[in-house]
Parts: sequence; structure tokens; C-alpha cells
Amino acid sequence: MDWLEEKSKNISKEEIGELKKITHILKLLFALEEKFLGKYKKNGPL
Amino acid sequence: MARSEFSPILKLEEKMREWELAEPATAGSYYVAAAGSLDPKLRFEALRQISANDYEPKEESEEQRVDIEEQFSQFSEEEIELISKNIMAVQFTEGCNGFCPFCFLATKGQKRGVTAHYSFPSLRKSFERLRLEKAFPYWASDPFDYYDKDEFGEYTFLDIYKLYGLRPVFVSTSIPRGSERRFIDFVKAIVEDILSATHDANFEQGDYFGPKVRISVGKHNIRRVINTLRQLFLELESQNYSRNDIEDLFACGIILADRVNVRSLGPLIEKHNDIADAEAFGRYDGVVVTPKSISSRITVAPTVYEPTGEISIKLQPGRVKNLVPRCEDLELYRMRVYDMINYSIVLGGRVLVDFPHLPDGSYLELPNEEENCILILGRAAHSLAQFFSALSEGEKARIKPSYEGGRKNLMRQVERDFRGIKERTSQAMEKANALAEEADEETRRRLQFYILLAAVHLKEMQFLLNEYKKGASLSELIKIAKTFRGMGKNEVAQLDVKLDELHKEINSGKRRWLFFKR
Repeated sequence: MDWLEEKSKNISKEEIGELKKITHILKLLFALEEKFLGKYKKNGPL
Repeated sequence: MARSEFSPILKLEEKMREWELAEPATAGSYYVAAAGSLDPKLRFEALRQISANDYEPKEESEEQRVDIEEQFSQFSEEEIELISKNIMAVQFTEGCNGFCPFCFLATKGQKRGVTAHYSFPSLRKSFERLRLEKAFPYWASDPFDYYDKDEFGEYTFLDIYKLYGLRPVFVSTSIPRGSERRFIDFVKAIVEDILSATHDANFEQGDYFGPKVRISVGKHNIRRVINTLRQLFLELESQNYSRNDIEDLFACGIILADRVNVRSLGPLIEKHNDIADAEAFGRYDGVVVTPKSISSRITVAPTVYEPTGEISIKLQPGRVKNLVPRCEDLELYRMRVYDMINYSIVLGGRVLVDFPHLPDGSYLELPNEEENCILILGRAAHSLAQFFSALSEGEKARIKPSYEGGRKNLMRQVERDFRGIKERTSQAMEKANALAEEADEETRRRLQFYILLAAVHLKEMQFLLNEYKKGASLSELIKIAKTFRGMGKNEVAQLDVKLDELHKEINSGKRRWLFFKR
């Protein structure tokens, strides 16, 4: 996050928009992963 | 005066303290381990000691003896030629007794421990014909588990080692339970091969091209490693090797590798909670030959769906053509990134790992459309993750961060490579989306997962390239790469909050003056 601290001094709206898209996809990805791991924890080894 | 320890032992004891483990166990653990040996003499002696000293024995294992000639005889000559030219690794045993916590095997539902091994006479006969001398002598196995016997004698990895002739062999071992004696005997047999190189007056460590043994050390085996090395040092000293000789052995020929901070792979996949682990463990494409199977192995990003970071295709007679990848070391691309950061004179050559190729240079495609999409998306994720990982380590560069020659060469090459990757990945994402609509729920989720995984990597790379085009310095690019690599579940939520705050600040007009300055 050091980079974002430095970057926040001159970050543009477009850059924030692009980073928001990345975090959005990541959150969806983690949610799917969580669903899968939930099944793994419930049913035992993969 | 008390005798001082050798430096490898001191290092390991320091690790024990760091990991807050108890003091090294006494002979008991050695005999418990040796009781699992495939060597009957060793096992008998260990069991006798255990019985006398009340140590706990390891269960005995029964294993199948496989003739590699017979195994290959089911394939046509043309198929054997194709396979043998692209063998990346050979496992002399099926499974191993190392029990490393990150092991691939446990994830695949296979029984741990050795379940089969190749007969030595068949290996000796086929070694050259199958080009085994060019392959790694292990994969999901440990060379020191190997033990075979027939009416003519007993055979260990040392006998296989001799088949390599003058070719330097790289061996990785955890010194599995029961293999301690074989490890000691092996090192004693190759000690001269290692030391002869170091005795040259002009010798420098970087010049060493002799045999190398990497000992993987983790919490599960550190006591065994200490006990085994102590025994090895005693025996070497009794053969009149000096203290300096023994220290020299560990300066180049034998490496201690800390394997505790391994990525969350194999059975540890449950702990996998971010995309920092998107790089595979073994970064090779090629064929892996084991006593129970001959399979193509293609590197992809490890995920909850493919925890080993590999797509494995079992090769069967009549089903070999178009399924054998060109044997390739994908780590070379990472090395090129380091070189381009460090030296401006390195020009050209890919830095992003490409999709797997067939030996004729065309792309390898899997017959099943869904699996093919997953192969392309998983591979794209691996390729971009490996680049981000290499770039994020760029601060190890020996040059000053202000140096820009390397940055330009590197990023121009990244732009070129990325165009091709983006195009093929986007096509696969489109195809996967269409397939997901028709698929059952489980397949749909799997396809969606890979679409998102590829999408996030494509977006990150595009962001990095945009920053480069706006004039970001090498050190800024490295920091961006580090930020993306470290974005786990917790970090992504924090980043989101931070971005919202920044967005509000900009909208409120408080920071407008900053943009006039740009």
C-alpha cells in the first residue's frame, strides 16, 4: 500500500476508476473461492 | 575443550529456535524413521533398536516393482520418440516418504508413502533410449526413497546417479524417513566430485557446475536432517576429510533450503486466501514419467480448483499426438526480467510466459472445450503473476533505481508479449462465458472463477502499462507490482475504502490544485 500512499497525492479519477474495477473483480473472485472452500471444509479433502 | 559444530548444524539449530521447536531428538527419531526403510537390513536393525529402546516404529509399506521397458512397450515407436524428447522429469518411485506438508500428492487423493518403484535393470537398459539423463530425477518423489534388489544385488539412487555419466545432476531431497543411510552413502560417494571443483585455486562459487543436492528443511524433518548430517560429518571425519573440506561441501554442492514459508499449495490450499499465490510451484511444461503413469504436465496458476498449479493429462497408447507439450523451463522468463532490470544491454526475448506449445511450435489445445478454456485462462494468470512477482522483486536489482535503460527494454518487451496474451485470453473468456451459460452449476462456477482470475490479471497489467506510458519510473512500477501481489482478502477491502476516500476528496474539490500541477 506504500505505493498508493505516495500515489494518492496526484491520483486521477480515471486511475481510481481502474483500481476500483480491479478490487471489484477481486472481491467476486474471493467470494467464489470462499464458496468452493466452504464445500471443501464441509466435505473433506478435495 | 568442547568440539564446535559445523556451520550447517549451527544454521539448522538456529532455525529450530526460530521455529520454537524442542532440541534435536536423540537416536530414537533416527530409528523410528529408519524402520520405514525399504532396505530390509536397515529396517531390521531399526526395528531391533526400537524394540530394545521402546521407540515408536513407522508402518511398513509394500510396493510394486515396475519394468520401465514394459511400461513403454505399449506405445508405438513414434509415440515413444515424441514422449522421450519431451520428458521433463522421471520419478523413480511412485510417491515418497518425505511427508512434506505442501506435497502435491495428498491433494490428488493419492496414498502417501512409496507404492511402486522401477526395477533397476530396466532403468539401466532404457536410460539412454528414453533420454532419461536429461530429465529431473524427481518430481512428486524423492530420489533417496529409491531401493531395488534382485538376485544380483541391491540398488539405490547412487546406482542411478552413475547412469548419468558426466552430466551434473541436481537432486532435491527432504531425506525421507528411512533414507538416511542412503543419503549418507550417496554424499560420501560424490564428495570427491564436489570437492575436486572447489580445490582449484581460482575457484569461485558461481563457477561450480558439479552435482548439487538441495536438502529441503521444514518443521516436519529438521530433526531428521540434523541427526543425519551429524552422522555424515562423523563418517567423513573418520575418512580423514578436514573441517574445511566439509564446510566446502556445503558452500556449493549441498544446499540447505528453508521450505517452511512455502506457498499455500497442495493440502495447504485451504489457507490460500489471496492471489499472491498465483504462481505455480514447479514451473515447467513437459512429460512426467512415474512407475504408475506417463503424463503431460502443463503449468497454470494454482487455484482452489487446481491446487498443484498443473494440468495433468494421462498419456495412453493411441492418445499421445497433440497432447505432449514442448518441454520448457518457464523460470527462464523470470530470469530474463531480472536481467533486463539489471543490465540495459539485454535486448529482446519474451518476458511473459506464453501458452503451452506442441513440439512443432503450434499451440497445444485440449480436446474438451471447457478444459481448454481453463488451460488458457489459468496459464494467462500464471504468466502475468510470474511477471508481477519478478518485477516486485526488482528492488534486489544491483543498479540504482534511477537507472531507466532496463525499464525501457523490459516494458517494451512486456507490451509486445502482452498483446498476444490479451488477445488469446479475451477469446477464451468469451468462449468460457458462452460455455458457462449451458453448463451445470459446478462447471459454471469453475468457469466463472477462471474468467475472473484472468480478468483481474489482465486489468492489473493494463494498469501497469498505462502508468509506464505516463512516465512511471522503474521504482514506481516495482511498487505497483508489489501492491498487486500483496492484495489478499483483507487488503482488497482496505484498498477499496482508501479508493472511496480519495474519490470523495477529488469530488469535493479539495485536491483540484494537484491536477493543475500535472
